[in-house]
Amino acid sequence: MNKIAVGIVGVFLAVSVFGQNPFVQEDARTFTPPLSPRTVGYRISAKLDTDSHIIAGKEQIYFLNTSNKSIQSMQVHLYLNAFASNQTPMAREIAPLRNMLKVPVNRKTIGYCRILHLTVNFSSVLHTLEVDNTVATFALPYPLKPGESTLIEIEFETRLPRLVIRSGYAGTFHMIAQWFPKLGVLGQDGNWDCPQYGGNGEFFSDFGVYDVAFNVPEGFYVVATGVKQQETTANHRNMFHFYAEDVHDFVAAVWDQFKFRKKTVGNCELTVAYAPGHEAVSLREMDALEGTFNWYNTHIGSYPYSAYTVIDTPFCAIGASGMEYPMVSTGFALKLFPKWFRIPEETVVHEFGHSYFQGMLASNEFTEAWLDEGINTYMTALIMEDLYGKCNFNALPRFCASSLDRMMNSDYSALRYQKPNQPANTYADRHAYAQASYNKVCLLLKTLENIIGKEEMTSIMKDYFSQFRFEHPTGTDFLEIFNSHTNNRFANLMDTMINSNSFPDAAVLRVTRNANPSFKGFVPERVAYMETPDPTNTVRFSIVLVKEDLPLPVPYRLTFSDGSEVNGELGILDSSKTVTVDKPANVRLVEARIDPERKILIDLNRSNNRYSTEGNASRRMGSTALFLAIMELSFYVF
Amino acid sequence: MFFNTLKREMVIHYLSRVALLVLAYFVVAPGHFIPERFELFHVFGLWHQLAPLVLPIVLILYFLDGWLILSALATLLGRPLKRTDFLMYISTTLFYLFLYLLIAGILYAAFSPLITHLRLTSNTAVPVLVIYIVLVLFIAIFWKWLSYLKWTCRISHFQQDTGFSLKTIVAGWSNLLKWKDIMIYVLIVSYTVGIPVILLAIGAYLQTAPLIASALMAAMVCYTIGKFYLLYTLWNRIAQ
Repeated sequence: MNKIAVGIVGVFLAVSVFGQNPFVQEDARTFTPPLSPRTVGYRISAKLDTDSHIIAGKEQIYFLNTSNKSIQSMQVHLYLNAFASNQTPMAREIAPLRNMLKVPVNRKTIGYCRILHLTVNFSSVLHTLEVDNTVATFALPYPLKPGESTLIEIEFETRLPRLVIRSGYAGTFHMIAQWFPKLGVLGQDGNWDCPQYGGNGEFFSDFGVYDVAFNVPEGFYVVATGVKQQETTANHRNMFHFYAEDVHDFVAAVWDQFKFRKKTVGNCELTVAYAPGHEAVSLREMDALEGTFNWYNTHIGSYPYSAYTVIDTPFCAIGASGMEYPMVSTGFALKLFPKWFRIPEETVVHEFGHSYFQGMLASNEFTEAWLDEGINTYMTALIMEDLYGKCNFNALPRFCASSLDRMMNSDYSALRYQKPNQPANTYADRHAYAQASYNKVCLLLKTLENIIGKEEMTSIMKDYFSQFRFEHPTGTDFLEIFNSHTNNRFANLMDTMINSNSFPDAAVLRVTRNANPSFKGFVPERVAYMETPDPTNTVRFSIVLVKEDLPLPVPYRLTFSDGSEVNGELGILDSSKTVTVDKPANVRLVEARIDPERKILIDLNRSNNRYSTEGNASRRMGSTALFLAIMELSFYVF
Repeated sequence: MFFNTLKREMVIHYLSRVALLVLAYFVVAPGHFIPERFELFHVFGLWHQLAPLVLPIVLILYFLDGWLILSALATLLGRPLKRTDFLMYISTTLFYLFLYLLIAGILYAAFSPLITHLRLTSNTAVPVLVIYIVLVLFIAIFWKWLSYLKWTCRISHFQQDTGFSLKTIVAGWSNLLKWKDIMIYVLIVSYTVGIPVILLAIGAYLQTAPLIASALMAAMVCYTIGKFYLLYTLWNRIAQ
């Protein structure tokens, strides 16, 4: 180590001692005091070759050991190695998607991230580097004690894969996400949380400061996390400089065809960076973004950053759509989507929600995906209803549907074997992951909203946000806040739904109708009770209702042909109940229905909630017509 | 009038379709039609459950339809059905089915590089959709043209009435480019399929039982009259 290096390390350590992240730019300082602990800092310069899709990068990483132990080694993610061949766990998971998008695996479409040089406090440790697919481990030249910081310098080469999921290139569009060697998260026990990169579950990182310079060919524009500090052109290259404080990731999208729609709301500049041809749909995305931005600022807490951008990806890059990153998200929109089909709006609402749930409340998306995805899916449904009303997903007359309606029509049988609270890579498949992490938690929270009210639920979310923003909250933290707000009334329910393989279901099991016995006297030969149904007498309806994995009172309603109704409920602890009702013999049971007001949405099989003697003729006819159409189609083929 | 000539076949054809409707109404997954789960295309999602039911019915209908068509053609010729007529019917079905699949495969293979290129490069979904529409249009044109040839072969077989040989399955190829006949064929088929589809679409959109029921009945009438009117028209055209 030479004298200059010793001097730099000295300054670096001195700065660290005073608790200041050395990558904070005094002239561009955004938040004073800092919003987060800023235990990491990244200063990156990257040069993108848009023909080979290779990024040549250099990065400096500041790291502060906040654990209770000295550490001997460090772990970094090399995410894009997940696309290095068709044999990685990620490649196997996304094979169906790859086939659908018609992207083969070959030397032009693979991706990787390689570390070329690696020093820790100016000592090379490259020889200690061990790479296991998407995780690299290297030894420190000396143990890093609690409270000490260090400087890691890395020279790396990243090749972007052909875009299938989240990051890569498509035509000249480059979605540059998970692209640089990035530290795992050091736990209090001194162990690294740095799992392999897969298709299910997403990311978990420490908050820090990002100071990133992007060098791209002239004509290309960069949209990225943070605030653009500078844009210069020299030697047919454009240089973009971005700076972001208190975020936990940095992504960029590079393209030569971006068009922009901007709007300033309060102190924040909202932008939709869209593809040519998407003018109309980008307007809808901007409206949704503004509405959601205002909703969160009013009901949950203020959005502190000065910018937010929705990247409306071109059709060829559709694999990048619907992803959340700090200060940036990707939309999902096709030019052909009609106005009544609000999937572009729903995507914007959902992804902006992640600015709060996972962006600022930085929970672990790998071990507790439900904590951000489940809550955010519920928030999406809530906000979509506030912004667009009842038919918030499909506004086509006669086919009115909300975001929640889609979830209620799903097949949840996988939840008999999978639960929300399990690591993302342990789910059977992507469907089970989505059902457990997104839908089940959303339906659970919506059920509770129907019981305790929207205001109380919003207040819980607001409290959760204000207590844990810019921290790493866990599921236990959220449940504690929820239970304290509701006086533990639903503690058992929450535990059953989240921590066990429960399949909550209430059903009308059986309906029987018996003539009441009429006493006629004793038969002399053998003492017996003689039963003779009397048409003028009453009949007895017995309705058997059952319930499993659902520690909630569940209402039911029986409707009879004389217009009378019987209302009641299955108690919290009831697993079954037989309701008997006596009626005149000419009265029919028109309908027995569990949850008639559709409030217990966590009932995952709603197809058994209703017994009825009156069918819905038009729907059945419609299905018959469709059946017939299929048959005629099959027939005409011959 | 063709109705007088072919009334027996037409009545059986119509009744078989109505029977199918009644069957479908009562057996199509009745447990699934509750409001919470109903979606317009939900029945497609049930395809794997319905297939074991649908496929045997399709086969039964195929044989019933074949018998009725052959019976109609024999009636027009004024002779009873022969065993070779059935042989001709099955062999033309298989041969032209093979040609459909071959041409559809060739067309898909020909379009595939362009489709892949557009999917991987276009900014909007419009070019991809357009190219798919063009592909489907090409397949439909060839499909209908081959169907026309198949029908002319079958009718020619009866009109020549020389018994079955391998030449029978290409007996109608002398009508290869009779544009007027082809257009008549396409028009009849379009009306036969088009009118019920429009009626069913309106009925499904409005979700009113009487309208859907009327559409279904109209569809049955269209299928029956369309099919036999087609036979009769082509018979007369080819006889000329």
